[in-house]
Amino acid sequence: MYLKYLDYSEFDGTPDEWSIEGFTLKKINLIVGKNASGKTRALNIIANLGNLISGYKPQLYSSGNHLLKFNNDTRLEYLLKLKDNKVIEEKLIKDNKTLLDRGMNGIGKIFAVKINDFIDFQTPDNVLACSARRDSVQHPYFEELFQWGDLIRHYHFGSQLGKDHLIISTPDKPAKVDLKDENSIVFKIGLESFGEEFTELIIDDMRHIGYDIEIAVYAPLPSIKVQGLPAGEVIGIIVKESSVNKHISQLDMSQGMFRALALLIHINYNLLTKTPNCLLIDDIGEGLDFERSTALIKLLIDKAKESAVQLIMTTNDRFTMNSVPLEYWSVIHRVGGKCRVFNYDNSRKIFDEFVYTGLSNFDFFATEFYEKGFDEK
Amino acid sequence: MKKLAIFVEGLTEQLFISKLFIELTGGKNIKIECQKARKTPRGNRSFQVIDATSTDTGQKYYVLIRDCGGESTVKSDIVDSCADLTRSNYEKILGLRDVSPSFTHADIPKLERLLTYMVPTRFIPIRILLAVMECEAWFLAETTHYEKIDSSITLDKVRDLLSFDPSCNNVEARMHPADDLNRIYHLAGKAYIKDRKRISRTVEVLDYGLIYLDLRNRIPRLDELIREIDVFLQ
Repeated sequence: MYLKYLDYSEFDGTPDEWSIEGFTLKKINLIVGKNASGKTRALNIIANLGNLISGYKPQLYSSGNHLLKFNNDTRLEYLLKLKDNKVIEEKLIKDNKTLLDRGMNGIGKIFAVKINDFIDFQTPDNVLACSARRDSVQHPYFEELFQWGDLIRHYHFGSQLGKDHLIISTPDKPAKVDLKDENSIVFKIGLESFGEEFTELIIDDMRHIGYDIEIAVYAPLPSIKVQGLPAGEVIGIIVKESSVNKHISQLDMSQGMFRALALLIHINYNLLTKTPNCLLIDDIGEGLDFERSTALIKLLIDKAKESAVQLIMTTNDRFTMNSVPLEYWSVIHRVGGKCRVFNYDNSRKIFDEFVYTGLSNFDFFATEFYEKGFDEK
Repeated sequence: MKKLAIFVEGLTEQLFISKLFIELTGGKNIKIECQKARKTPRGNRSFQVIDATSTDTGQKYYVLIRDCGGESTVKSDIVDSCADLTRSNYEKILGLRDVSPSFTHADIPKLERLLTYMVPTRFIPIRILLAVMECEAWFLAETTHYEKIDSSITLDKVRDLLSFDPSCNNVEARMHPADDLNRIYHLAGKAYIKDRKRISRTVEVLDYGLIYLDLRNRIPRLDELIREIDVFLQ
């Protein structure tokens, strides 16, 4: 199941009003926009809602009106309106049938499959009914929504991505990893779960994008000493580049190399566990050179195509824009607090015509061709 | 010094045009500088010198050939650079890009019509040329070079292989000339691959006298390119 439509607004009618409407998504998406246009915010909206639905971060926010539609065997729509940290409306519609309809004070009706009828309910108004009423017998339709929220992974490619996260050696205790935390040490559980297959996959992918490494291990970092612990008790990722006769720890790697490595570790683990999920990657390619950035994005797109994963990336980097076909693009154009989205679904003619200009994808964005096309220029 | 800037989509065009200038001038009184697009540490686009035929010794002609790294960046790089090149006393900017793989033959009229779209007119003259469908069509048409790649590759074998005669048929009609070349070289267990070594092997054995005197007469877009070069070298 993947997200195919998003409407969102917050603080309607106030100076802080912000909205994004009619945002259609596909399996592979590159969100493009100027600084502060709403790219990162769009990803945050999806991630935050996923966290709410899955209960990962259940704290409601002060304002937010969401309408989401999903692509699946069935048509699933979820509407959620929040105000003052409370739910004021929540609906779930499947194949045009409203299965959950809840209003103020947490009062509503919910369809119970076993009794084939609607029942009245009331939940506290500071929790989602789709989470609080989760019951795979009576309300199985919540499960796919829960799964969607639970399996969202959100990465900020411009951040540390765990470079400064090491763990203390505890051989008797299994690693406890929070897969929703982009800084978590996924390499260790990847090795524990899949052994050499996992390492080989990471090495192959790193080579594919231009980092010629031959060894990737999770091992003690002798140079790191922690007060009160014997030397060699701190564990981290170590790689060896083919052209350099020296091992490099994650602390000594360039930021770009580590970001690529960390992202590939996370994504390959998710793919090997075969859990369909939604990958949100903010500022993809940030800090990488052109060739590696292009290769990484192509690799991610290929992996998404071959799996059930929905890929949603953002960028304002011209090299990244030039390397991703326009068919995957959604340009966010913000005027005041209102964001419009231009993509193949709503502007197909303009997108198709642009290639004849002979200009680069970046110019499609930079000249705002996406808004008017040839007609008004 | 007369200065010309040529923006091309890749290494093939860069090596070919560089060699063409050397052959047409005898390599004398000309400096050719090849540059390649790169990403700066701050994320901007710039060009890095990768090759130059000689140092500055007061040559009469200076030709800058920039590899833009893709057909869709040729025009954009020209638009971005034309003000600087005007200030640096270049007299003209040429662009050269393939039609393939983004377009078919049916798209060519529209593509050619829109090549001037958004190209600034307040700087030095700019002209963007197409290679139909690929620059390799010109190599394909220079049929004497096959035997220089391998003596076992004869024109008869090539005709049989392609069901097409590149010595007289319209090479611009071929959909994938680079693939054609690869298939031809395979006759001798060799390959045409787009790396510097393989491209150079072909570019070095082409007969530029034949290209200049003969092939241009049956390949209109090649003729347009050579005419521009002739004007510059006058």
